[in-house]
Amino acid sequence: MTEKEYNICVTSHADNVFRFIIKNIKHEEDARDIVQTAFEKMWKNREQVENEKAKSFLFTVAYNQMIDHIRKNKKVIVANTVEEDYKVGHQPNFELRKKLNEALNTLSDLHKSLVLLKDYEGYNYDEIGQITGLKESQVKVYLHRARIQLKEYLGSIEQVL
Amino acid sequence: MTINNNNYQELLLLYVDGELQPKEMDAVDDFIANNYRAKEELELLLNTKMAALEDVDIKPLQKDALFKFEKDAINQYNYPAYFVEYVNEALSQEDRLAVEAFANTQASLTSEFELYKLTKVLPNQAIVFANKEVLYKKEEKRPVVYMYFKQFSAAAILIGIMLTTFIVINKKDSNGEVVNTSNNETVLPNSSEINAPITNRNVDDKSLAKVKPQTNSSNSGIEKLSAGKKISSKKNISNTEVALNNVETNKLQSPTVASQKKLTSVENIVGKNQDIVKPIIEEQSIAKTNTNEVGVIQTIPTVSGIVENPNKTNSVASAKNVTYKTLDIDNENENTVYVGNLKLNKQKVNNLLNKVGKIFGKSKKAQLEDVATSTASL
Repeated sequence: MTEKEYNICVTSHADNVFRFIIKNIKHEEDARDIVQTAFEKMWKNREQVENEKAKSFLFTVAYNQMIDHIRKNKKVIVANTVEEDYKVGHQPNFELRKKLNEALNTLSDLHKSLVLLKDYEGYNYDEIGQITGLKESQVKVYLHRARIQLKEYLGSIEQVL
Repeated sequence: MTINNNNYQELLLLYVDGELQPKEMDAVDDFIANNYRAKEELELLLNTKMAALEDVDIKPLQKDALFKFEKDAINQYNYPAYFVEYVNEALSQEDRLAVEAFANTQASLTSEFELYKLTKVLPNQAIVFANKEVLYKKEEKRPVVYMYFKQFSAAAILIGIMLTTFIVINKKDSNGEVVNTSNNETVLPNSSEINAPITNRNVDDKSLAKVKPQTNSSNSGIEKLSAGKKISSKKNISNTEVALNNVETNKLQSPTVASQKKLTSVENIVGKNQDIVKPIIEEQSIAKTNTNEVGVIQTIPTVSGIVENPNKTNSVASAKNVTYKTLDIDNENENTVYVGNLKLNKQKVNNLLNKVGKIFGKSKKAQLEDVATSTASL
């Protein structure tokens, strides 16, 4: 990966990684630190990282950093979450999105990460497995359970709409 | 089959385990009905049988997860998995169409299908990483070779000094100046008294030729003289050595006067001994070089004891008086040292030798010894 390719990656993927992390940990500064760390690692290893796999590398590093961060701060109550800052009202069906975000927060960290990787970035099971270190079949099962849980939280379509 | 008191217990065990045929079981029942004791035993055996898991609080197994269906067959049992796969975009286009068609078959399925689709989380585009400039990088262009200028310049200066010194010394030698470094003597001709100067190294071939037939001691004396060592004390020249020792005391006097005096004393001795006279260089002069007499060249009369001079009053071999220039630097400059006739600063020479010693990894002691040796030889 060249310097130019790296900087293109910053432009293309920094927001995606940041979005993925902040939705998980709900702390803007920590999310920024994780993103910066991920890009620093990619810069240091740019000679080994292929440009085509740069995004996957970034998400893998960021995901691992995030897991470490979650483990370290498990007992810390995050008082200042960013949900208020990043209003979901920008999206259509405000009530639905709000409820869906609530449902998302009921998921475990792993399930939430899988859903976000799937829905935000559109990774397939195999790619999600590579990022999270899970087998493809495990990703499939966990995602299945997460969807069912989200659906049950939403209740009936009449309630949502 | 006959059941009696001897075999009924075995048959009761088989009865409890259900291993008997229906006829045998009927026979056991008849026997129990007529035998109260056998009936009690049967009841005890039946109580030992494990109870069914009816009263154990175990949730019934959800068998839905165990059902397996063909992939392409969406039906009322497996449709949730298909709906999830649809939302996860893990289905082919053909399967997606099949799922949509299946969901439209019933109203309840349609609403459930829509609910599944609503579980898809859309990214919030408002969330961006601000100030991306902190992430941009620029490669540093590193030099191919790092130049350590201080070290290189120091080494270049040192090498330059060494080369200059070497070239200057060689140039002086090639100019034909007579330098006698082995004996630390510089021979300067004294035209008033001696026809030709004779040095220990530049001994005239004729003189040598004449020396040889007369005595062996003179030859050895020349060799030792050239080596800068004391001539061996043979009996026939012992007096000469004593005389020359006396001559040495006059080294601070003017060369001409001193040489005349020495010549006189030598002639007297020669006249007495009627033998060959050898030049002598005292080791004391070498030893004294360690005490700020470096470069002192003694005025020693070289005597060509072989050459007969008819003009002299003594008919014995006459000595040609050769005048040596005495370089007494004690009073002039104690910090000056002579390499050949090259005048150098002693301190600089010592510093140079120290640096060279450090470069070649010599120990300090070895360096000091080298300095002492070099200065002594100078």
